[in-house]
Amino acid sequence: MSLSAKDKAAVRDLWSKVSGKADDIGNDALSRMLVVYPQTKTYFSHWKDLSPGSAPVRKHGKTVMGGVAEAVSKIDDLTSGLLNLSELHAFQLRVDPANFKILSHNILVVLAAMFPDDFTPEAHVAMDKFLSALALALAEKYR
Amino acid sequence: MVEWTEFERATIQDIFTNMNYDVVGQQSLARCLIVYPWTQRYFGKFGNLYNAAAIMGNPMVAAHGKVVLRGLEKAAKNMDNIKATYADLSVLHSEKLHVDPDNFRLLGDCLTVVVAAQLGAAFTPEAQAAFQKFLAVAISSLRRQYH
Repeated sequence: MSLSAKDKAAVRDLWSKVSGKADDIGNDALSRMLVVYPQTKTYFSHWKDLSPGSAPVRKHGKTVMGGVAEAVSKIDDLTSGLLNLSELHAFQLRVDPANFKILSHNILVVLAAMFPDDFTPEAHVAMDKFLSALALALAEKYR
Repeated sequence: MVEWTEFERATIQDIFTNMNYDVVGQQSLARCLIVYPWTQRYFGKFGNLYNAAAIMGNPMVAAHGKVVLRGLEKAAKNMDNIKATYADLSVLHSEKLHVDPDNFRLLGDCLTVVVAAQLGAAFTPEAQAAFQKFLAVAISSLRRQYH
Protein backbone atom coordinates (compact mmCIF):
# COMPACT_ATOMS: atom_id res chain seq x y z
CA MET A 1 0.00 0.00 0.00
CA SER A 2 2.69 2.48 -1.05
CA LEU A 3 2.04 6.16 -1.63
CA SER A 4 1.03 7.07 -5.16
CA ALA A 5 1.81 10.45 -6.71
CA LYS A 6 -1.82 11.39 -6.05
CA ASP A 7 -1.47 10.45 -2.36
CA LYS A 8 1.69 12.54 -1.96
CA ALA A 9 0.07 15.52 -3.63
CA ALA A 10 -2.98 15.19 -1.36
CA VAL A 11 -0.77 14.98 1.75
CA ARG A 12 1.30 18.02 0.73
CA ASP A 13 -1.89 19.92 -0.07
CA LEU A 14 -3.53 19.11 3.26
CA TRP A 15 -0.31 19.80 5.15
CA SER A 16 -0.02 23.27 3.60
CA LYS A 17 -3.49 24.03 4.96
CA VAL A 18 -2.99 22.66 8.48
CA SER A 19 0.70 23.11 9.26
CA GLY A 20 0.07 26.58 10.69
CA LYS A 21 -1.75 24.87 13.56
CA ALA A 22 0.73 22.02 13.94
CA ASP A 23 1.36 22.76 17.62
CA ASP A 24 -2.35 22.71 18.44
CA ILE A 25 -2.83 19.54 16.43
CA GLY A 26 0.01 17.83 18.28
CA ASN A 27 -1.29 18.93 21.66
CA ASP A 28 -4.85 17.82 20.90
CA ALA A 29 -3.84 14.47 19.36
CA LEU A 30 -1.52 13.59 22.24
CA SER A 31 -4.09 14.69 24.82
CA ARG A 32 -6.71 12.50 23.21
CA MET A 33 -4.35 9.54 23.01
CA LEU A 34 -3.59 9.71 26.73
CA VAL A 35 -7.30 9.96 27.65
CA VAL A 36 -8.84 7.53 25.15
CA TYR A 37 -6.03 4.93 25.35
CA PRO A 38 -4.82 5.12 28.95
CA GLN A 39 -2.27 2.37 28.42
CA THR A 40 -0.20 4.90 26.45
CA LYS A 41 0.38 6.82 29.68
CA THR A 42 2.89 4.15 30.66
CA TYR A 43 5.45 5.82 28.41
CA PHE A 44 5.20 9.12 30.25
CA SER A 45 5.49 8.18 33.92
CA HIS A 46 8.29 10.76 34.16
CA TRP A 47 5.90 13.66 33.47
CA LYS A 48 4.35 15.61 36.32
CA ASP A 49 1.09 16.26 34.55
CA LEU A 50 -0.57 14.01 31.97
CA SER A 51 -3.84 15.91 31.70
CA PRO A 52 -5.02 17.28 28.34
CA GLY A 53 -3.25 20.50 27.41
CA SER A 54 -0.70 20.35 30.24
CA ALA A 55 2.76 21.83 29.71
CA PRO A 56 4.61 18.54 29.08
CA VAL A 57 1.82 17.36 26.75
CA ARG A 58 1.94 20.63 24.78
CA LYS A 59 5.71 20.51 24.49
CA HIS A 60 5.73 16.92 23.37
CA GLY A 61 2.89 17.43 20.90
CA LYS A 62 5.11 20.05 19.27
CA THR A 63 7.99 17.61 19.09
CA VAL A 64 5.84 14.91 17.52
CA MET A 65 4.41 17.23 14.88
CA GLY A 66 7.92 18.39 14.08
CA GLY A 67 8.58 14.77 13.17
CA VAL A 68 5.46 14.68 11.01
CA ALA A 69 6.57 17.86 9.23
CA GLU A 70 9.96 16.29 8.57
CA ALA A 71 8.23 13.22 7.18
CA VAL A 72 6.13 15.34 4.82
CA SER A 73 9.31 16.94 3.47
CA LYS A 74 10.86 13.50 2.99
CA ILE A 75 7.73 11.83 1.67
CA ASP A 76 9.53 10.46 -1.38
CA ASP A 77 11.75 8.24 0.77
CA LEU A 78 10.47 7.92 4.31
CA THR A 79 12.60 4.91 5.22
CA SER A 80 15.96 6.56 4.67
CA GLY A 81 14.67 10.02 5.53
CA LEU A 82 13.55 8.95 9.00
CA LEU A 83 16.48 6.68 9.87
CA ASN A 84 17.58 8.79 12.82
CA LEU A 85 14.07 8.93 14.25
CA SER A 86 13.74 5.19 13.74
CA GLU A 87 16.94 4.55 15.67
CA LEU A 88 15.72 6.84 18.45
CA HIS A 89 12.41 4.98 18.77
CA ALA A 90 13.99 1.52 18.39
CA PHE A 91 16.95 1.75 20.73
CA GLN A 92 16.12 4.48 23.21
CA LEU A 93 12.38 5.04 23.42
CA ARG A 94 11.38 1.47 22.59
CA VAL A 95 7.76 2.42 21.99
CA ASP A 96 5.72 -0.62 20.97
CA PRO A 97 4.92 0.05 17.30
CA ALA A 98 1.24 -0.78 17.91
CA ASN A 99 1.05 2.64 19.53
CA PHE A 100 1.93 4.40 16.27
CA LYS A 101 -1.45 3.31 14.92
CA ILE A 102 -3.14 4.72 18.01
CA LEU A 103 -1.50 8.13 17.71
CA SER A 104 -2.18 8.17 13.95
CA HIS A 105 -5.89 7.59 14.59
CA ASN A 106 -5.99 10.49 17.01
CA ILE A 107 -4.20 12.78 14.54
CA LEU A 108 -6.91 11.95 12.00
CA VAL A 109 -9.67 12.67 14.54
CA VAL A 110 -8.10 16.05 15.33
CA LEU A 111 -7.76 16.94 11.65
CA ALA A 112 -11.44 16.13 11.18
CA ALA A 113 -12.45 18.20 14.21
CA MET A 114 -10.26 21.21 13.35
CA PHE A 115 -10.51 21.19 9.56
CA PRO A 116 -13.87 19.56 8.68
CA ASP A 117 -14.01 21.15 5.21
CA ASP A 118 -10.42 20.35 4.22
CA PHE A 119 -10.36 16.83 5.65
CA THR A 120 -12.31 15.37 2.74
CA PRO A 121 -12.55 11.59 2.19
CA GLU A 122 -9.73 11.90 -0.38
CA ALA A 123 -7.54 13.76 2.10
CA HIS A 124 -8.47 11.21 4.79
CA VAL A 125 -7.34 8.17 2.81
CA ALA A 126 -4.11 9.86 1.70
CA MET A 127 -3.31 10.95 5.26
CA ASP A 128 -4.13 7.51 6.68
CA LYS A 129 -1.78 5.90 4.14
CA PHE A 130 0.92 8.47 4.84
CA LEU A 131 0.78 8.00 8.61
CA SER A 132 0.90 4.21 8.12
CA ALA A 133 3.97 4.59 5.90
CA LEU A 134 5.48 6.93 8.49
CA ALA A 135 4.89 4.35 11.24
CA LEU A 136 6.49 1.67 9.12
CA ALA A 137 9.57 3.83 8.54
CA LEU A 138 9.73 4.56 12.27
CA ALA A 139 9.66 0.83 13.04
CA GLU A 140 12.39 0.08 10.47
CA LYS A 141 15.24 -0.28 12.96
CA TYR A 142 13.34 -2.21 15.63
CA ARG A 143 14.63 -5.65 14.69
CA MET B 1 -21.82 -6.47 32.45
CA VAL B 2 -20.39 -3.23 31.12
CA GLU B 3 -20.10 -0.46 33.68
CA TRP B 4 -21.03 2.96 32.39
CA THR B 5 -20.39 6.20 34.27
CA GLU B 6 -23.03 8.93 34.31
CA PHE B 7 -20.80 11.00 32.06
CA GLU B 8 -20.52 8.16 29.54
CA ARG B 9 -24.27 7.56 29.47
CA ALA B 10 -25.00 11.27 29.07
CA THR B 11 -22.38 11.66 26.35
CA ILE B 12 -23.71 8.76 24.29
CA GLN B 13 -27.33 9.91 24.62
CA ASP B 14 -26.29 13.44 23.72
CA ILE B 15 -24.41 12.34 20.59
CA PHE B 16 -27.21 10.12 19.29
CA THR B 17 -30.04 12.51 20.16
CA ASN B 18 -28.41 15.33 18.22
CA MET B 19 -27.12 13.24 15.35
CA ASN B 20 -28.17 13.91 11.78
CA TYR B 21 -28.60 10.28 10.72
CA ASP B 22 -28.77 11.10 7.01
CA VAL B 23 -25.48 12.99 6.97
CA VAL B 24 -23.48 10.95 9.48
CA GLY B 25 -24.68 7.62 8.09
CA GLN B 26 -23.80 8.48 4.52
CA GLN B 27 -20.48 10.07 5.40
CA SER B 28 -19.29 7.24 7.67
CA LEU B 29 -20.05 4.41 5.27
CA ALA B 30 -18.74 6.39 2.29
CA ARG B 31 -15.49 7.16 4.12
CA CYS B 32 -15.12 3.51 5.08
CA LEU B 33 -15.46 2.45 1.42
CA ILE B 34 -13.02 5.16 0.31
CA VAL B 35 -10.38 4.93 3.04
CA TYR B 36 -10.49 1.12 3.29
CA PRO B 37 -11.44 0.09 -0.25
CA TRP B 38 -11.35 -3.63 0.47
CA THR B 39 -14.56 -3.15 2.45
CA GLN B 40 -16.27 -2.68 -0.91
CA ARG B 41 -16.26 -6.45 -1.21
CA TYR B 42 -19.51 -6.56 0.75
CA PHE B 43 -21.33 -4.15 -1.53
CA GLY B 44 -21.15 -5.75 -4.97
CA LYS B 45 -24.80 -4.91 -5.57
CA PHE B 46 -24.41 -1.19 -4.84
CA GLY B 47 -23.56 -0.16 -8.39
CA ASN B 48 -20.93 2.51 -9.02
CA LEU B 49 -18.24 2.53 -6.32
CA TYR B 50 -15.51 3.29 -8.82
CA ASN B 51 -14.04 6.39 -7.17
CA ALA B 52 -14.53 8.69 -4.20
CA ALA B 53 -16.97 10.97 -6.04
CA ALA B 54 -19.10 8.01 -7.13
CA ILE B 55 -19.15 6.60 -3.60
CA MET B 56 -20.06 9.95 -2.06
CA GLY B 57 -22.95 10.36 -4.51
CA ASN B 58 -24.19 6.77 -4.39
CA PRO B 59 -27.76 6.65 -3.02
CA MET B 60 -27.48 3.00 -1.90
CA VAL B 61 -24.44 3.89 0.21
CA ALA B 62 -26.36 6.78 1.77
CA ALA B 63 -29.36 4.58 2.52
CA HIS B 64 -27.28 1.80 3.99
CA GLY B 65 -25.21 4.18 6.10
CA LYS B 66 -28.45 5.21 7.76
CA VAL B 67 -29.40 1.56 8.38
CA VAL B 68 -26.09 0.99 10.16
CA LEU B 69 -26.53 4.10 12.31
CA ARG B 70 -30.06 3.07 13.31
CA GLY B 71 -28.52 -0.21 14.39
CA LEU B 72 -26.08 1.66 16.62
CA GLU B 73 -28.94 3.78 17.96
CA LYS B 74 -30.52 0.55 19.17
CA ALA B 75 -27.43 -0.15 21.23
CA ALA B 76 -27.42 3.44 22.52
CA LYS B 77 -31.00 2.94 23.71
CA ASN B 78 -30.10 -0.33 25.46
CA MET B 79 -26.71 0.42 26.92
CA ASP B 80 -27.16 -2.03 29.80
CA ASN B 81 -27.94 -4.91 27.50
CA ILE B 82 -26.14 -4.44 24.20
CA LYS B 83 -25.10 -8.08 24.08
CA ALA B 84 -28.67 -9.38 24.03
CA THR B 85 -29.88 -6.51 21.84
CA TYR B 86 -27.34 -7.48 19.18
CA ALA B 87 -27.73 -11.28 19.32
CA ASP B 88 -29.74 -11.50 16.11
CA LEU B 89 -27.65 -8.86 14.33
CA SER B 90 -24.54 -10.82 15.22
CA VAL B 91 -25.92 -13.99 13.68
CA LEU B 92 -26.95 -11.99 10.61
CA HIS B 93 -23.46 -10.53 10.08
CA SER B 94 -21.79 -13.89 10.61
CA GLU B 95 -24.09 -16.43 8.98
CA LYS B 96 -25.77 -14.44 6.27
CA LEU B 97 -23.56 -11.46 5.40
CA HIS B 98 -20.22 -13.19 6.12
CA VAL B 99 -18.55 -9.95 7.19
CA ASP B 100 -15.01 -10.21 8.53
CA PRO B 101 -15.47 -8.69 12.00
CA ASP B 102 -12.24 -6.69 11.67
CA ASN B 103 -14.25 -4.46 9.37
CA PHE B 104 -16.44 -3.32 12.25
CA ARG B 105 -13.46 -1.52 13.76
CA LEU B 106 -12.70 0.20 10.44
CA LEU B 107 -16.25 1.50 10.12
CA GLY B 108 -16.17 2.51 13.77
CA ASP B 109 -13.01 4.57 13.20
CA CYS B 110 -14.61 6.33 10.23
CA LEU B 111 -17.70 7.06 12.31
CA THR B 112 -15.49 8.59 15.02
CA VAL B 113 -13.82 10.82 12.43
CA VAL B 114 -17.19 11.96 11.03
CA VAL B 115 -18.62 12.68 14.50
CA ALA B 116 -15.45 14.67 15.27
CA ALA B 117 -15.96 16.71 12.09
CA GLN B 118 -19.59 17.36 13.09
CA LEU B 119 -18.92 18.35 16.70
CA GLY B 120 -15.50 20.02 16.44
CA ALA B 121 -14.10 21.09 19.79
CA ALA B 122 -17.27 19.87 21.53
CA PHE B 123 -15.96 16.36 20.85
CA THR B 124 -13.60 16.58 23.79
CA PRO B 125 -11.03 13.87 24.60
CA GLU B 126 -13.38 12.63 27.33
CA ALA B 127 -16.34 12.51 24.93
CA GLN B 128 -14.17 10.68 22.41
CA ALA B 129 -13.22 8.13 25.08
CA ALA B 130 -16.89 7.52 25.92
CA PHE B 131 -17.85 7.23 22.26
CA GLN B 132 -15.02 4.83 21.43
CA LYS B 133 -15.83 2.71 24.50
CA PHE B 134 -19.44 2.51 23.31
CA LEU B 135 -18.32 1.48 19.82
CA ALA B 136 -15.98 -1.15 21.29
CA VAL B 137 -18.85 -2.68 23.25
CA ALA B 138 -21.16 -2.62 20.22
CA ILE B 139 -18.46 -4.25 18.09
CA SER B 140 -17.71 -6.87 20.72
CA SER B 141 -21.42 -7.76 20.91
CA LEU B 142 -21.59 -7.96 17.13
CA ARG B 143 -18.67 -10.42 17.17
CA ARG B 144 -20.20 -12.69 19.78
CA GLN B 145 -22.11 -15.08 17.59
CA TYR B 146 -19.24 -15.72 15.20
CA HIS B 147 -17.88 -19.25 15.35
